[in-house]
Amino acid sequence: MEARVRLTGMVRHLIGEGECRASLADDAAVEDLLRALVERYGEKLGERLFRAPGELSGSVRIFVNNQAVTNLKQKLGAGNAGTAQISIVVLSPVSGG
Amino acid sequence: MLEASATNGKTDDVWIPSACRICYSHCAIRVHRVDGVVVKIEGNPDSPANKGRICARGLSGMMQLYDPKRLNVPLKRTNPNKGIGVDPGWVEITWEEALDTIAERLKKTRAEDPRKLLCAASVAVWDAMHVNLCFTTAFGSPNYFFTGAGTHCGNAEHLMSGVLHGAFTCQPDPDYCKYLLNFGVPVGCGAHYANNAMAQRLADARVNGMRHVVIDPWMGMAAEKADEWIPIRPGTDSAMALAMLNVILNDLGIYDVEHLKHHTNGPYLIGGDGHYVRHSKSGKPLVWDAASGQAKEFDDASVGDFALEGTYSANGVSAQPAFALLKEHVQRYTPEIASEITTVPAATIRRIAKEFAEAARVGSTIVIDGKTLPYRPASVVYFKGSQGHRHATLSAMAFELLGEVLGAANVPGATLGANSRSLGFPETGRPAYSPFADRDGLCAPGAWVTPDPPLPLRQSRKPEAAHFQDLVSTVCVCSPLIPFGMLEPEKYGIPYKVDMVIQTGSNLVTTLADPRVMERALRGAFVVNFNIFLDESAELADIMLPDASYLERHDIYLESMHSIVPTGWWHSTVAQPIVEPMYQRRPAQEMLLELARRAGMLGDMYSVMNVFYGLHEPYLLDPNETYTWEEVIDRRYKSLFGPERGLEWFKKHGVLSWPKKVEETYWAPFVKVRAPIYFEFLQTAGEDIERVKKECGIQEFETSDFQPLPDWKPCQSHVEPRKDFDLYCLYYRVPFHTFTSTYNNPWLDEISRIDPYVYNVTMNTETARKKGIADGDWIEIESAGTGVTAKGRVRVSQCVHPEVIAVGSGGGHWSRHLPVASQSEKGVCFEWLLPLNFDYVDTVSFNQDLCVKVKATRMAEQPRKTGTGWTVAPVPPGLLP
Repeated sequence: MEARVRLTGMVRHLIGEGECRASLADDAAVEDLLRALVERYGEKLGERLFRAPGELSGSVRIFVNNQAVTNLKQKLGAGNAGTAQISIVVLSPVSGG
Repeated sequence: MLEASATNGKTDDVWIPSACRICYSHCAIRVHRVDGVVVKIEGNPDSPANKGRICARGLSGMMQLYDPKRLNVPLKRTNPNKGIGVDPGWVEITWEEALDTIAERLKKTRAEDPRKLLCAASVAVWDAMHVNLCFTTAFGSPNYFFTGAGTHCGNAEHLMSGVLHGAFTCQPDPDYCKYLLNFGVPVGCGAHYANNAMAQRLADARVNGMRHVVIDPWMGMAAEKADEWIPIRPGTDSAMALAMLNVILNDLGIYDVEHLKHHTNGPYLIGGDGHYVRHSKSGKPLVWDAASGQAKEFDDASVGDFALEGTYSANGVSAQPAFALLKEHVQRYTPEIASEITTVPAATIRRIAKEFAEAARVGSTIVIDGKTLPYRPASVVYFKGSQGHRHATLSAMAFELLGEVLGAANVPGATLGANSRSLGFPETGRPAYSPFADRDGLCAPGAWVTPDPPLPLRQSRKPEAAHFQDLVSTVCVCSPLIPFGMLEPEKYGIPYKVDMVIQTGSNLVTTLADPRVMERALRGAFVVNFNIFLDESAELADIMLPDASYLERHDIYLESMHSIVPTGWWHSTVAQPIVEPMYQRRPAQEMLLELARRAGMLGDMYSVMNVFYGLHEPYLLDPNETYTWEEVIDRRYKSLFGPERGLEWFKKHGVLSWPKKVEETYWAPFVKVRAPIYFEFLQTAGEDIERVKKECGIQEFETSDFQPLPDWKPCQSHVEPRKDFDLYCLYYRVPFHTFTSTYNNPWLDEISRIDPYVYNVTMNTETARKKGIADGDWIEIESAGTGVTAKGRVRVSQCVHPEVIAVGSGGGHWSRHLPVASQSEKGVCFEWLLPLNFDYVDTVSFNQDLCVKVKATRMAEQPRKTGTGWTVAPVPPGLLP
């Protein structure tokens, strides 16, 4: 299956682009996609996405086919076209009050 | 229900429901428009929050709308020299030129390094603030900063509210409180959160027998209406609180054992290193089960009796329960010692401690809606004044513990998290959030105003953001240190330099302590400023864009937790344009979306908005489509309240409300979390920060205040060595102004002139006599912190502590485009007296220390009078060369 990923937020300076594609096994889960992205873009991205091994950072939000996802084991579930639409938003500490 | 309707046979004569945006309380209003002109604003009686009431600021909104000095066209700077008091040489440009110029800069910056963009917003322009946050995040920058009170926010209060109440801030329970212990908060008295809504409720509480005691150096709006005012030396409130805690715990022996055992970390065992003793496998904190004589994990269901005192052996180390350490720790704060620090008599401290502890009625219960709940009708509130000091977090801890040891938190009568828990609108179940337990069982907020609640604790990181909140992970609101990250990024290992700034409504120069620091920081950047006026910060801008006011635009009401009273009803509103934007004014929200489109990042913007606004299918924004701002608002409301209640429903009906459940308002008995009375996580955070500092070679950000139990420590002003700087200068919130943003409003100006104090400086009668200063004299006020001398006209009063000069907040403007505000008899700009450096910032919460030592000298002559008032050219009014 193919995952079409939009990466937004505090990762742009690491990846240099906002959208990418990844080819994955048909039964790939969210964690497989994230692992593939870290392999492609480097460990700096991994530090941004994960709080600890296997534990998503509190500032990361993931949507798979427009559904919010918190369980990394969840299958990506490509649609009929064999493509999963993924949106990953990395929020950053902000200052205000 | 309110509906827009034409009456009286006129072409246009309607009352339109909307929401006030002059401050962050966002009261529901209805606006009378006749023949296209706004003629009156009232509170909306359909709102269960403000119940038809509105304050002076809200009433005066039309004067802001029609202010002849509004910025009406886009402007471009022609003078390359930037500085305070320097004419930018504005020339008018078209919106097209402005947007194209900005978009090109954005594309260039984003391609180089998106982190070079800093966006600043204001709580006084609430919704643009959130769109601005989405814009910054979508751009890929961590540098977002929102102000309003500038750095004068309640950082430490927010931090403690988060970890003890699961909320951004707290309020007393107006329905059941019988004793309100108030450390300097104008709650329900014209300022603070949800002020109109709380005003009537607290007035009713007084009628129903609530005693209100205010501790404050200045008899402000709360103290003047209270049963008792206790003047105190600035920056010492926590010494009084700690002495009270000592009296309560050790002399009176009054505390809520059941609450401490089951709802706090009081039973957690603490080892000699100050940390929890943890289970060797699970890592969970251990407690001592007195029933079985064993150490067990804190959440072990077999614990029969949590030990609160004693010394035990667990995991091979000697350990004591956290509560025992707290009890022992506060013994050093006797009322006599506290009296020397605070000037409050020891007998008064003892009396107030006893009154408060007894008022809490530990052990009592009350039945509400068929549910039996603990009844603790005693509440502690504090905010900017009492915690606005160098050791703000330690102060906030002390205040909070007064209530926490009595079980007076999030139960009837007690201090309540301002809307900690929502079970949602009955038809949709949204928004739904609740405090939840972190890995140690402590209270983490279920919702927060920024993406960074204080718990679960974030790991400290090498500084990457100019505000340093990645390094100091306990900071969950604003950072006064942002100019240092902009000016000297290499010093802190920040791998870029901010070179572009977009502001929406914020007046950074007059709200961030010493204006000269922000001036230097903004000089090196390309600055775009959306504003309704050419204020002081406009002098540093490259492009000024005329924003629409809240009566000319749509705004989302974002379930601002703090804007709603904690009891009674939930409510949501919308702000809608009563008139079309005049001249070339355009809403910043819409223009930020347009800039995102022109910069090629609209899809990213929508992705972030989907997260930030909590949109759900089928209302998610598609990154490949284009939406108007109204469509975004519509999707937000439908996501929350269902397809029938979109923007049009709100524009017609104004207010959606539903009653709060007992489980929401008094959530503590229903949610399995523990409040810290021993702040071990701060010690952990401090050690983590030290590790990163060492790795990066950073010297600043010392961590001695990252301690688990509170102390009083002197501020910079307390150790000022020069004896002639013998007075503390402080400012107080003025109830009819919102920070600096309302001083050009002629109606509010009239009230300010009628008030004897707002535009003057107040000195104690006896102090003034000793210095040979009489009522009405002009004085010079020299700051020990900045070296700047301001001038002001003195009013003498017994309603201020003898060691204090009190200044009204937000005045002392100098922009020549604010002719009503910029006259030197219109107050003192306190910021000029307040240093901006690491010595004046709480290192845990980044709270700005708001107290500075000054010396006051009578001026021989009045300042020169000009055609527009008292001015001292060429420097800004309010200053002397």
